[in-house]
Amino acid sequence: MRVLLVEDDRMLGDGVQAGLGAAGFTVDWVRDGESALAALAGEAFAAVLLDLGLPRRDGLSVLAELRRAGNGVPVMILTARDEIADKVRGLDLGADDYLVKPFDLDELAARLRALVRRASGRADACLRHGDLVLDPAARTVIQHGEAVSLTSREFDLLNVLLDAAGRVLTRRALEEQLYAWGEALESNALEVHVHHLRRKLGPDLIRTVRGVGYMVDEVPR
Amino acid sequence: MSGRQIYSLRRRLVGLLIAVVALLWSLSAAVAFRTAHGEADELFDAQMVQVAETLLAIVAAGGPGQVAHEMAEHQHDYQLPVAFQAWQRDETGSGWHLLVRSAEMTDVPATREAGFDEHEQQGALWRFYTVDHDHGRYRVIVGQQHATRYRLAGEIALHLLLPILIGLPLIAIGIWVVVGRALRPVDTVARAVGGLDARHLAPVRIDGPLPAEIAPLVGSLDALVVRLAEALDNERRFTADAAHELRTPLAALRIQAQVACRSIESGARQHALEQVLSGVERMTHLVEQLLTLARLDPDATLPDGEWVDLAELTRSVCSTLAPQALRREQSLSLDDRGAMPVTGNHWWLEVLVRNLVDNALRYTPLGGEVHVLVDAVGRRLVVSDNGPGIDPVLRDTMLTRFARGAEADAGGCGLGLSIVARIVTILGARLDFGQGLPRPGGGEGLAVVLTFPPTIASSGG
Repeated sequence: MRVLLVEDDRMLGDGVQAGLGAAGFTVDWVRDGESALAALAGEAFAAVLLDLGLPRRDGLSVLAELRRAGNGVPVMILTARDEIADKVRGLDLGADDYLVKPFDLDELAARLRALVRRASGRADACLRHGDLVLDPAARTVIQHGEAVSLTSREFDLLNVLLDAAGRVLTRRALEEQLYAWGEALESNALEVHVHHLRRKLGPDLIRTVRGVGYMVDEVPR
Repeated sequence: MSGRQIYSLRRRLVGLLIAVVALLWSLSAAVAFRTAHGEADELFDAQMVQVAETLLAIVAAGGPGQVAHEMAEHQHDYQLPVAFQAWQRDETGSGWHLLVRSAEMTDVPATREAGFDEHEQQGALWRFYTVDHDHGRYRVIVGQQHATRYRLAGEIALHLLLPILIGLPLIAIGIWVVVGRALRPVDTVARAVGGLDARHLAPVRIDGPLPAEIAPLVGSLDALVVRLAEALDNERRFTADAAHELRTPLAALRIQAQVACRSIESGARQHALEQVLSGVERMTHLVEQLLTLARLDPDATLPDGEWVDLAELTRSVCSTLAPQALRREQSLSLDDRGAMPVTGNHWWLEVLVRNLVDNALRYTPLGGEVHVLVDAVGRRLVVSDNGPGIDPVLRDTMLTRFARGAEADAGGCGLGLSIVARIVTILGARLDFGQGLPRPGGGEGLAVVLTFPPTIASSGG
């Protein structure tokens, strides 16, 4: 899951990027408000982690601008201001969650997952498809009652596809969701991961839409 | 509870005004009484003379019988206001024979001078008028109790006083109402001030006109409210800024520590642990600066006769900071032109110089240049660097707590310049920003110029 981190403090940003990376997120990090808006205008993120005290453009103003532009990406505010009025203002401007510094890495990851889950309209923490169960928090996949061993990248790809079940995802959209800026991606990496997933989970789960991308069929609940 | 005595202005005004009115009125009543008494005296004296003459005429013409008859006749109509005796001299000419007298006048001897005189009789003060007729053959004495006159004068005075006694309460009520109306703006102001909210301080709002006596009070209150609101705002901003400045490094410490705990790869763990260490260093610096700021009592005054050689002190500060400059490959140079005594406490001046030089080193990039000049003649300390400088627009805000330039990466906490500004105020010195050393890519860095006042104890005490 690709998230945008907007934080001006170098040490905190570095830690969050490393910590969330270890928890299975792909984190892109910008350090001021203007860069955040530029990044959000160009690419799709599953969620935004937004600090309020930012140089060049205040976090709340970034949030307001984002919502004015009709961007509904889930936003979690990270801030040191803990007055109720500040929280109310942030939430009223369109933030989805609020975390006061200093926070716990696990809580941050859990809240981010919940945020993304709610944004896609699900209440269940796990993604289900037939008898396939994907648990984003534990990063496990169970099929036919047995655990399936996946690499981190395969897991992320399956997660994205299941999350968007019923919709075709283009190669570009998938790559954006899986790779942070500056991460080297080989031209056929996506095909390789899909191939591995089909081998491990059965050939019918992921369908190729020729010339467009991949999709997982929607399963009636 | 304060021991202050609270009194009602209204009640005090009513009391004072009533007392003044009553006093004036009483004085005029006293004057009226005296005048009335004098008039009554003249009136009664004239009456006594008249009665005496009449009696004498009757006695001389018709004898005592006629007098008794006349008196009896007149007594039906009204009581004569005077008592009387009529005497006739003996044939021998040596004694007096009482012809007639009124009942009240018993033992007044006939032997007395003619004219008016007064004396005590039967425990009361009387006034007598004695008159002779026919070469001393007949003598008439008319007497009157003084009390009669007092009674009359008293009645006149009472008639004058009566309207006052009735009028005084009416006047009191009138004053009460008028004073109450006049003081109404005070109530209005009190209510307006009572309605002020400590969280949203705004000038006192009063509808309608204000009397000139109250307007300055409201003006001063408004000025106070504005100053208070500013101070409160400042404190609130400081709290918010302090929260940010304290919590962000704490959050970073926590996250980096968690990352270090979980990293399996030794390179990543090493990196996270280094971040933790540098975070602790940063927090230490922040706490030191906060404590320094807290120790700089805003009411602190210059100690008498204490002075420090700024050149010597700057030399020592630069030698302490030199390793830091070396680590960052910066050149730190000092140019001092002899001793420069500055009035002040050693600790303040050291904090001052250290913050200036440390700031310059922090905000100047690796390999940069910092130059310190102690100018004893111009009484100046100039710290110049070839760092990014400060945007002229931002210069004023740079002195506030936690303010940093656009480049916030230097590991400073934004307190250095506000500490400097506070010490500069205590020392009575002046702080200016100027153009620093030329930068490699063009433009100039920042120069901070401190100008010190001349030392009072130039003798070097």
